[in-house]
Amino acid sequence: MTEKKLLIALAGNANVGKSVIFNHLTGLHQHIGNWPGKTVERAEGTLHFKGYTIDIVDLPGIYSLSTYSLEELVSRKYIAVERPDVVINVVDASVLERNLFFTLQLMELETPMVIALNQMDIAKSKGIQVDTKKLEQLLGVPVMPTVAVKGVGIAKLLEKAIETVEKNPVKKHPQVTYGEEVEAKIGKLMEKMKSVQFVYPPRYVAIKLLEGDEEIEREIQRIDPKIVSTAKKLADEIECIHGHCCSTVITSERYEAAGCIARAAQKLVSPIKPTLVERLHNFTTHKVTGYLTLVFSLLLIFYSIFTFGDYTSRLLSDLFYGLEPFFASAFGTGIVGNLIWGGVMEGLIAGVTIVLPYIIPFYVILYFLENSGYLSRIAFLMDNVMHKIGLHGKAFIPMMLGFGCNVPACLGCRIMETQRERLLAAFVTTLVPCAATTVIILGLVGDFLGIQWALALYLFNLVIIFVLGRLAFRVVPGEPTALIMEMHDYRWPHTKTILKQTWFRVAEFIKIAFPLIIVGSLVLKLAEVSGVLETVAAVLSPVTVVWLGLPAITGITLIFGVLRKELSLVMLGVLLGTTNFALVLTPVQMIVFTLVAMFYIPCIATIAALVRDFGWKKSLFITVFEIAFAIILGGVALRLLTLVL
Amino acid sequence: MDMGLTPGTTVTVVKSAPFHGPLEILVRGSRLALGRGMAERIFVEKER
Repeated sequence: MTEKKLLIALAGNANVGKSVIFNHLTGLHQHIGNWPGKTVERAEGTLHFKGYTIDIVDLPGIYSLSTYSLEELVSRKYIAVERPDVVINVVDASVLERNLFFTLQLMELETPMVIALNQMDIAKSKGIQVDTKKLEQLLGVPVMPTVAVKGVGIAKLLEKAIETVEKNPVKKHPQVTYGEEVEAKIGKLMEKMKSVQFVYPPRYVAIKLLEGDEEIEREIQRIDPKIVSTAKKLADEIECIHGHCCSTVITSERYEAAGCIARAAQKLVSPIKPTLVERLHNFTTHKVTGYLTLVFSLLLIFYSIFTFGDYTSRLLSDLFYGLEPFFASAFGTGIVGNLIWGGVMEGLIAGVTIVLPYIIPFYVILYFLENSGYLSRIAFLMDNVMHKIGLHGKAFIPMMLGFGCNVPACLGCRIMETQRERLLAAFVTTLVPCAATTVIILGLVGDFLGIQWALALYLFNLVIIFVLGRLAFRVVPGEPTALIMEMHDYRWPHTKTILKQTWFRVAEFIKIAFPLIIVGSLVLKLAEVSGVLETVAAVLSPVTVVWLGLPAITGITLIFGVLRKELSLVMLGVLLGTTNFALVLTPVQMIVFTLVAMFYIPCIATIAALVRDFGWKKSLFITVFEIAFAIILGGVALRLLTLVL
Repeated sequence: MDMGLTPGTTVTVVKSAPFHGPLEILVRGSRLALGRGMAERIFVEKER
């Protein structure tokens, strides 16, 4: 028997349990990459079921299929161009109306589909009963109830999907019927487009043109500009009749249709009374208790990660350095042995001692917060603060990540809606003192000048973030977007999904950071062995000695810091031959050194993350800017501090 | 708009975050956080 192949796409709004279903279906046979040229993630997996080899693509979670964000563009293009055999539309039964809005748009794409009516349990606890049969009948699309977190209904869903393909994949769904005027215009446009061949179905194109969808407009413009101008004229006519712009009219009518279906298919059985999740929501968004909870949870998270990370990191370091004698005996202590140990192995150790102790727990906690719904509450509470630097509440999340490590934080900026906001958020994030920077602040200033100075530096850092963030907001062209996001009900997250998400993130981190860290440390070792470092220190001395008033040796250590920021302090200890920095540095020098180390450059792994998402030019600009800024700041600080201290 | 805030929709304002923060509203059965700037540009009528 030949193997039959199937391509299934999962589509749905954000936070409906799509990735949980995806994980159930594919297990570990999945890989996550990016959509070509986009920073939007693409997850794929394979499974075998009833003699089929099924490829499953998890389309990014979206709010609707109109041109709003990258996610949506990616998804609809995929459906139209790649033509999956069947689309499984995951629908949240507890918020039926909003989800059906998206379903109706999927149906307009005229793709074979099955609906997974998910979170039936949550709907039930909210007193919402959905009549699956009725829904199926109203939509003309098969509907399967599921409770993804418990794995209920998944196998049946898959069977249904296959059945849909086998039965009659080209069956046309009934479509939303819009108001009379709109329908008339759609008809006229379709008439015009009769001869046009296009990947999207004609009715869909007509609707999108009336809605003023930029991407579709662009593509049709290439084929026949007359169609676009006709569409514009027709849209204006609708605007005249209704007094709202045409896309508003269409969206309203589509929502109306979704609402009608939802109301007909669901029954509210009990009056909505505040449940536990409701009370938890109220508590965590309250103007007093909400902020207290926020501060408390953040402190708890960072405290536990730092304690755990510090302990494990030391343990791993000791373990690895225990291997040094073996390497020495195997490769000798000559140049080659030195390069292998000091270059490759130390780079590897540096990487491992970041990833295992810090990055992994960090992601586990992050995904727990995200999947449970707390992250959106944090964004809600912090919106207003973030607006002061021109970003909205969601940008607080990558910033928060930045305190742990800038790399995941920069990658986390993908949650922002526009490319501009992503860039701004990433810029601000690289200024946040990460765990390694904290080591410098606490290890140098904190230990030798007192904790109040360390705290002052932290505070100063926040001020700088604020000032530079505001500045960047002014400089980078474009409009700010306002916060609009769903706060779904709190729920207990699905452990396996969290672990998987963590695993893929960590793998991504390793891929980005490890090669650079290892190559970087090899290069530095080479420079050290060949004696180039002294020359570098001499070349840099006008900056380090004259302008910043630091020992010439700091030129070298700051270069090491590019690899991993705390190395700039560790190396300082090594090169100066003492870790009692009070003997070799004045208090002013300590502060200046720490200031420079805080701002001077995002570390090499962060730069790699920036390049990945924003390209070379912007990353280089950010890097150069921050180096220049740190140097200027350090020099100014030196001159001011010598007046005071 | 795509989040369900279309003309004529009933919205319930649950609360607003302090210091002129975003609003929490209920629209079509889901809970949204809405930035102040955007909320100020929405015209509403009180329902009886």
